[in-house]
Amino acid sequence: MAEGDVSVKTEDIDLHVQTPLIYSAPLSKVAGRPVFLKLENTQPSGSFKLRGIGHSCKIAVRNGATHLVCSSGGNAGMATAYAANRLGVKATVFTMDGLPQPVLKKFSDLGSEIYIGGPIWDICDATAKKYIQKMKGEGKTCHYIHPFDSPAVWDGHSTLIHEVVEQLARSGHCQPGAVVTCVGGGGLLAGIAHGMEKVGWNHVPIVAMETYGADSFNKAVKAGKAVKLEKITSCAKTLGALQVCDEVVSLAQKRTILSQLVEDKVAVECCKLFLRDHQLLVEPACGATLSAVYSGKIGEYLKEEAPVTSPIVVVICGGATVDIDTLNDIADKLGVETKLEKYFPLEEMRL
Amino acid sequence: MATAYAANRLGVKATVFTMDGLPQPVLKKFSDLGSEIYIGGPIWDICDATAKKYIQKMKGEGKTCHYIHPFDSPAVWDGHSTLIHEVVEQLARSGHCQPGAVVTCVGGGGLLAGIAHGMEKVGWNHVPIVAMETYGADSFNKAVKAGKAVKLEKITSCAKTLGALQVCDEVVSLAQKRTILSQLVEDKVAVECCKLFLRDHQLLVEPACGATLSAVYSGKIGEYLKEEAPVTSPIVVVICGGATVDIDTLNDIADKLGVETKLEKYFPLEEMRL
Repeated sequence: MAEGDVSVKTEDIDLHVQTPLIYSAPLSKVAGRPVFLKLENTQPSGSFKLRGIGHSCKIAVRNGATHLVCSSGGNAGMATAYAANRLGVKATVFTMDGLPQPVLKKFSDLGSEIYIGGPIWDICDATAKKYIQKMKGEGKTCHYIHPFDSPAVWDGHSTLIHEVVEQLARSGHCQPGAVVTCVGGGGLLAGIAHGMEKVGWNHVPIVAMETYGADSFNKAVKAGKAVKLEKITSCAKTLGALQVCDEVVSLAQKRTILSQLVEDKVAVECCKLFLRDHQLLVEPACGATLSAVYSGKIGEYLKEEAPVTSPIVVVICGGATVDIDTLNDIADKLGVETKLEKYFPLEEMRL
Repeated sequence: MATAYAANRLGVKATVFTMDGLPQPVLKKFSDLGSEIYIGGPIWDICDATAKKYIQKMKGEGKTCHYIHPFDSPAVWDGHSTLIHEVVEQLARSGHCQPGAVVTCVGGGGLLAGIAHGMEKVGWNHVPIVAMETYGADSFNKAVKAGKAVKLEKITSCAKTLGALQVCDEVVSLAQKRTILSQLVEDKVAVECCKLFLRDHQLLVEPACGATLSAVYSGKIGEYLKEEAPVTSPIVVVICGGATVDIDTLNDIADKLGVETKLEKYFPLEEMRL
């Protein structure tokens, strides 16, 4: 620690930050009702993952862990790497495929080791566990961090709802009409649902967006049980869990979670619209979340479930695996055209 | 933009006078907020005079308008100073009781004044502020060198939001009372920093903010601070943001300036077979 700094114990360090909840004029205009954005992209690791993963990592380190291992080259891996960096421990991350340079730079900046663990998540995760066994054999204790299927992770994610309660109240609303999010493995959805239960918002519907080709939650809801997809065919990699955790299948049977799907092209278009409207670059997974509003369909999704003028809270999950060049390439391949309304040239006032 | 947003949330009308044509995405923002917007003149002084004539005209019609100064007002500085109060608490949660320095940029000086006032209120008067500008929008730097406010002939920087011909007297006065290190950077470097920041944090900011970031990205922060702060002390960088930036316009400016983002090469990932 630098001179003059207060000595801080591991348990006292806040890894995640309280993020802003902002009123969005452009999205409110499209929706015809107030739309508030919970900016999880402003978490230091780039996404909401730091809440739950940070919590898991803190518990591990408090219990003596000096080496954290996570089977994700996406945002969970990024959050693990960030947490390890701040907690002064080692991180090793296993990912499925080659990552773009800007993403590799992030892991490098955080001092994390990163390896390819396999072509699909199951193999990747198995490699992570074998690595832990191998280290154990060498007398080194590593701690496994699950990217989404863990009560500690859900607990950490649920903190965002507690912040929203206070922030929404400051804007004059005691509850939202709905909370909009997206679903990958279900960790965020579980955390949001748990948080909402704790604050008395069990009756408030959640809109859970996915893309076609990464729709494991939608399939599970329709089947009434977790379903394993054959493969992920969506460009929204961070929604790419072949099977959602059982927790969200169970939650969907207990409280209103409206599962909706959107095409990759629409999700990516929404990323571009959001960059234009708020100067924030988010991943296609987050574009899927935003499409619930940008499409103009939020009213249709909610139907009788919420008063028509009630405010919507959209969880901007963020994402640190997106870079503008890759996004533009994907947009070009998908044929995304951003239709910009024409605004008349400004009138000059002469007085 | 802030006046339009405030008016929208407060349920009152807003009329904004600007200097030149604005890109479509920016016009959309004013439209979404329900604000009126007119061109008031080719430079800020004329634009500001038009705004005041408009208020007089409205008064003549029995309608009361209220003038909001963009930066030279104690109320504005007071409001801006709130960010420092937040930083005190947030930095403490990260284990630091004070920063080694606060880095910001200077346009008309409103943000700088607010930051300095906030720092005084929280007992950080001794903490240096690094105040960045671009060449061609350097009214603060010139004022610091002259010991008094100096009026630039014109703005030649692409960092439009730093484009005040003259800084407010408050920051000239503050620069004489507490350490404010005035530094300049080229447009090209500022715009490059916008691209680096987008890569590192997925946040698109204006060239003015790129100028702020250049203090760190250039590797020169240590040199700027020299004896002024302990070498390992934390730096707080104020990401001023900006809603007048759009990616296409920024890329055009970057191309014209010949910005090349040098990306280090990272070795392909090693596969672990176990």
